[in-house]
Amino acid sequence: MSATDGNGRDYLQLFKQSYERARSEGPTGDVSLDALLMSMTPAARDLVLLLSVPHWFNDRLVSLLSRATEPTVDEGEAYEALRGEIHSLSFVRPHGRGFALHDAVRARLRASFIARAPQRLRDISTRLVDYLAARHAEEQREELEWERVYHLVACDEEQGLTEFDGVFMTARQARRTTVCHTLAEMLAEQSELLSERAQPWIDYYRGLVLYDQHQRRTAGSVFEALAAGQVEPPLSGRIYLYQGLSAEAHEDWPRAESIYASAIDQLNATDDKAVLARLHQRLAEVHIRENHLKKAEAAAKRSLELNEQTGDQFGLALNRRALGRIRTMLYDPNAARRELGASMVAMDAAGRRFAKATIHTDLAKLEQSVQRLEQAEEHFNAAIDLKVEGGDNFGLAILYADLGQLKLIQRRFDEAQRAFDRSLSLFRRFGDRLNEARTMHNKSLVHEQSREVEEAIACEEKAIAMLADEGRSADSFQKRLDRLRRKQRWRPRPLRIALLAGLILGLLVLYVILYAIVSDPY
Amino acid sequence: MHGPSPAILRYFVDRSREIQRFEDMLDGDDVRFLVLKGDGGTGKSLLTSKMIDACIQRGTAWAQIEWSDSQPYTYLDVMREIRDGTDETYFDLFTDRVKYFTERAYELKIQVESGDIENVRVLDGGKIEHSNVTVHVGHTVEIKDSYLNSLRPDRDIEENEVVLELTRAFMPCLRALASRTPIVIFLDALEKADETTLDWLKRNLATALRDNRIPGLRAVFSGRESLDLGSSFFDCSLEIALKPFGVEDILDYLKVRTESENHELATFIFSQTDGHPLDTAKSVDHWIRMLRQQ
Repeated sequence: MSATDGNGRDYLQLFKQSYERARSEGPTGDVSLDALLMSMTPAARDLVLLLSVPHWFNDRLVSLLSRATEPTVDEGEAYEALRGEIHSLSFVRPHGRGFALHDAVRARLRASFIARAPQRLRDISTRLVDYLAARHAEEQREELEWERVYHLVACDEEQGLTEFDGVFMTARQARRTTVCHTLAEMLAEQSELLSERAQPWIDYYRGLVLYDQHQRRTAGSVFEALAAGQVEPPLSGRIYLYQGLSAEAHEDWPRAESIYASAIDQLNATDDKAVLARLHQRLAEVHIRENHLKKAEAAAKRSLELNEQTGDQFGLALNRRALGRIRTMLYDPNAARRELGASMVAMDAAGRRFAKATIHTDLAKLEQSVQRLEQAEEHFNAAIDLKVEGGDNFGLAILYADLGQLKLIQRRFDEAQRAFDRSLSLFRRFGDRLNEARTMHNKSLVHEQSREVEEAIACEEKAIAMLADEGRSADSFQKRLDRLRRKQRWRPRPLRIALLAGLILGLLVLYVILYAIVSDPY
Repeated sequence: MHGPSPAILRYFVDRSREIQRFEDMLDGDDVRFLVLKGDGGTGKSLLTSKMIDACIQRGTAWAQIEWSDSQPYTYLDVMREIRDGTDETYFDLFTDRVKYFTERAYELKIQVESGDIENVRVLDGGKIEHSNVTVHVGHTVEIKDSYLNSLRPDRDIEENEVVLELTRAFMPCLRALASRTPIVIFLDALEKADETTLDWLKRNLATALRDNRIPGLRAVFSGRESLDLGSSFFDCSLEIALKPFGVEDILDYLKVRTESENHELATFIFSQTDGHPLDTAKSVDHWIRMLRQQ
């Protein structure tokens, strides 16, 4: 192509002038993009703008949106030319579902669209919602549903946020953290279209993602910032809950207690029984940690009342469990058994079969504490069976370690070692060096009880080495190792035993002789 | 898997330095992965397409995973894409375990009775060897992924255990395939990946490359930020920061797209775009459009 035509016009000059116009009149602020847009036909320019609303598009969407262009171009040669113009753009790239604008270009166009014609964007979103609903009904692909909800948030905030919450929580309950991350970012894209009231929801979901990714400190900061702002129920309740959970994750019990107590005060007047029940239950758990058992009991009972009103069986199960643990700590085993038994029933009613393993473990520890060791073993075995059925190998590792402790108390040393060995192999599989170290320490205890001092020393040394690898302090283990080594030095050798036996025998003989001499009158 | 669109490649600006580094990586053993770093619109995806084209020309197996704003790829998706993009017959062990963790009531078809699954050897035709015992899956057993994404509801397995077990089943399969044919994995737009997936990529894929545990495997990580892997990865990787175009690059690009040389135009475009590749492409779109209209 030539820079001048037969009439001598300097296309380069025209090109430069178009940039000057773009700089002063361009819609997006991106000079190259604006100059290009201003060179396009009005219908094409408008269609490019509309195509920035969805994350991707295909021919059906192009056809749909071309009917909304100004002027409308939806059939015939003009439509084919329009479609061709779109596909020739260098920033239109392939996408799994057809095509997409380069995300930098899309961001610019969307920002311009929102600034200049937000209502029109909402109208386009409405069309997209209907289109995607129909596609989802055909294909049942979840990403179509996510895209639909994304557009629904733009055109109907209340309904959109409600449905978004449903989609997000479904993914969260399925532990799909990556999906939650994407959904949270999609919601954040709509922030300029959302009201002030809706803005905190964006950070709330981001905070949940951080929390689920175990970035608890950062999550805590997000929830702190949200809690400090003007947030209304029901969101405020959820924020306080996760603010408290983030504090708990760092074992900051006083802070967690303060958060839950304050949240309960603020929300008591609301009707959100479900959130209040959870707050009371968390408060109970924190009080248990702090050994404030009376307060824990009061909080658990209040949560129970609320869960009875809402019919939340899982909540009731947790309440009963907390009460059972409190009664255990108050040395009231009969009441503890009743509560834990009730928790078991509620878990069944809630359909949480595998969670019953936790209750069995609590019961096992209760029975162990009152020296009903056979009953304790039964409960540990029941918990183990559930873990095996559930495939929870990490939970199984912990249970085998607990069972090993029980066997040690029962002085069934071989069985204790077997349990600890099973635990050890599972922790090793997970690369959990800390728990490996603890289990190795427990093995050392068994060896010591079995009078196998060398083996006890070897296990304790391994435990200390594992802790050192993890950069953890091993002071208590070291003290024990030093004691074992002293024990080893002072342990009687065969010669010493023989000499000692000889000495004792000699003394006995001497005693008998002396006695005979003293008692004989002659 | 389809290769990059010819239309995209036709307008590729010469990035011969970067392509040469890629070719050197494929031919050598020291550098085992590249990190392409650059802001949005600097041509990372286009360069990746060119590298994929090079793989196709060489007959090298490849797989590409490109994150986007609305597409959440997890570690499982990454493993599935690698399997589906290369040769799925090598991945029965992995697929069997994927089904085990995602499908209700599914029982494993390939049992590794003793020892570590990581020590399994995957052989041709779906055979698996472990501790010198060959477990033959058999032609009557078909293991097809149902592409479910949630953990099966009839078990209670922790996510971290699932990650561990699937990765341990995946790696021997990948190792077996890579021992027969070189493989390149392209991971694009990593700035859109979430922390959990990035963590998996660093802990598993990047460290496997660093330690050369899968000879024959290479990778290209692309994104707007550095991967922040640590000094132990310096020797086995190369970071390439994509630079803006110079006037000569823009001139080359104009030649490819317009079949003409116009130094003054290239200089003007450079002055308006600072050599930013995406802006340059838009400018040239504009130029072409303007000429057609005139």
